Amino acid sequence: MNSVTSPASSLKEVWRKYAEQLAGKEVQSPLNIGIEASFTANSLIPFVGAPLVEAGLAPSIELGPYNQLFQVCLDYKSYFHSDLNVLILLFRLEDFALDDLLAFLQGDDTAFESASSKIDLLVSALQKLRASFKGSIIVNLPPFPSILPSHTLSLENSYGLGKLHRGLTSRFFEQVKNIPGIRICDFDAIQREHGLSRSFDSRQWYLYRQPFTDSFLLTAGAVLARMVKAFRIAPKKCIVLDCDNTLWGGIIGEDGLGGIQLGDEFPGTAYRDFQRLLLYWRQQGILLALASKNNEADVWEVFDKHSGMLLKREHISAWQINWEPKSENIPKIAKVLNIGTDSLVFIDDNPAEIDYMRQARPEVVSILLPEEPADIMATLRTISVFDRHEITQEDRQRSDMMKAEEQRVALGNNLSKEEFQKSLGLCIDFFPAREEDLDRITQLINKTNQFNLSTIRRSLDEVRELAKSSRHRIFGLRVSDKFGDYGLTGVVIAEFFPEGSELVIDTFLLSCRVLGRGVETALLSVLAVEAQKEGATEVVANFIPTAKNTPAAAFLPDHHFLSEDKKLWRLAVSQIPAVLPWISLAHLGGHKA
Amino acid sequence: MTASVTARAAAPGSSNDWLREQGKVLTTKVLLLNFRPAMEKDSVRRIFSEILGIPGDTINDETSPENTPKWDSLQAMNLVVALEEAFNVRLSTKEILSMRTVGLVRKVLRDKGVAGA
Repeated sequence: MNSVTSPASSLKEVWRKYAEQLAGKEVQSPLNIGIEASFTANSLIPFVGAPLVEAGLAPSIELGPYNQLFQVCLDYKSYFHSDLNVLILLFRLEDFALDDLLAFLQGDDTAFESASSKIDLLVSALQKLRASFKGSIIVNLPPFPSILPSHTLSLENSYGLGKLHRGLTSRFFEQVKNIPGIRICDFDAIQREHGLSRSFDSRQWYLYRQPFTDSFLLTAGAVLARMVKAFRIAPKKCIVLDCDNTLWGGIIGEDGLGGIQLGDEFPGTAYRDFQRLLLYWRQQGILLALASKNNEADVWEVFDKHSGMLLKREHISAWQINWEPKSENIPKIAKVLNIGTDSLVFIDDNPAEIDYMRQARPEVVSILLPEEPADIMATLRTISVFDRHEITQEDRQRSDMMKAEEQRVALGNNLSKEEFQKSLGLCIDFFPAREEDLDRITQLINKTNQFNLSTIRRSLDEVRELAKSSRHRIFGLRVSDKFGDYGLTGVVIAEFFPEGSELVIDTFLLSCRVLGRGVETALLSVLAVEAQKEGATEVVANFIPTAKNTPAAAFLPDHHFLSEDKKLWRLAVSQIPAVLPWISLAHLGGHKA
Repeated sequence: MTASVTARAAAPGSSNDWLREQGKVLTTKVLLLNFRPAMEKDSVRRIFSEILGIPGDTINDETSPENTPKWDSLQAMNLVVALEEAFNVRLSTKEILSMRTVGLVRKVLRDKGVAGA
């Protein structure tokens, strides 16, 4: 048996243990995070949560409903229980505009326009969210699509899918960057860094609509966690640097100005690149300091006279160049800069110095410079201790901004949940099940957990028996809207009792793929039409609560069904509203499941 | 695993550190084998127990998503990853779909050459 656990498994374990001991307890200063995704995102949770736990935060992560980004943006309070601090919205082009992508690949000229209008719609929804939600918002840039006929190495990619992806991403980015305080997580960059072929999990995609490998989720989760962390934890403020074999190769006191390596020849190039990194950090507001065991004059000679130096004296905000232990120089540097020692990062090439600093000053983040000069840049530019969000003037004036934004949005953007549903072009096909539908219907009966009133499971044979019964009717529902054709995604099994003029609902379920669009109500409406045809005057429904069907719990009371015991619910057929005018009823053919 | 080993480990004032260490290791193994019979050795049970968060002794070959609420499609993903990692195998979608009970999981693993699954 393989006894080595992967980093991914370790993080899952950390999250599991944390969630277990957290269950039901009150948390001090909780960090409430909501994640809404266009794909199955449960697997992402431990990879966002565990790094936050390890950073000393108390995260609580809630998932929004499957692929209902618009609905969440327009009415987030309906979907999340807690007072959210952070809302993370994740989408992929393939989940969002698959028909357009496929049409594009077929040479359809209008496909780009169609996909673009969906992007614009999402931006409107984000504007609405920003106006109504006071917490932090993170949205992603969509990754290059997977599973389509054209792929990254296709020869036509630059002109084909690549162009479409670039165009749509760009269109999205240009608009979202103008919405105040929305942070962007570049999922495409993460996928590039990781490698697309290592990122897509085709088995989990086909089985569960979960598209990403554990290793991609680990990276993406780590980046999202860093973004969330940066809302709560201040970055380090100063980097304290050793000099010899850190800023240059060699030892100035021994090799002299001409002997140290710095400049256009390796390993001098590696140290020069490191100085570039330090200047980049300095430009972002991080202070540079020196802690070197040297004669001061020797060190400054390099700064002043060596042609390879990119760092100059004026870049250094504080220094302790002496023969004292560095752990005693640290508080002196902190004092000069008027910051705490816990805001410092210490870099040295000597493992003994690092070890000693970690013991003497554990609040300082001590980082060992890699021994291999070629690794210096690669390793150090990825550290996250300096992560911070740009706090703009707008962020500081958040509440004023929101009032102005609300007005602007109210004037220019009339997107609401109702408007959104109206604009969907929703189309449903409610039909009596035929023999060839029973397979798919049985599948839905056995795997639908969330929007399922009674959660009665049956085998194919049992369903066939029911289909033969003269008192029972089995109906299927096909759904499509402008975002796609979802296929057979609803089942109703009803029993007619002519003596009592009742129609009793045995099974009433919908796949989570079609929720949040008004289909739930429409299904009831079309069922009422059937009830009337059979002469029933009352609809009776059984609601059996399970651990998973909370989304269906409010359905019957919301539609004015009445119950004495919260189990059996009744409503007169005449009280059931007709199908809303913007939903079309049609015969949607095909065998899409 | 004999009494003499245990006795050696327990011998006071023994100056042979290595031997004492070996004795401790062997004694520990004896204790494990005797007092935690099925748990340590049964990796399949341990994985299900850890991932679903249910006690190991409630798991038997008939354990399935139908009788175990915590075994849902989301945990199924985690189970697949854990099983593959632990036994160094790769499961096809066909095999994953066939693993409807713990007993069937064991069967799939044995068919793939995992001894004692």
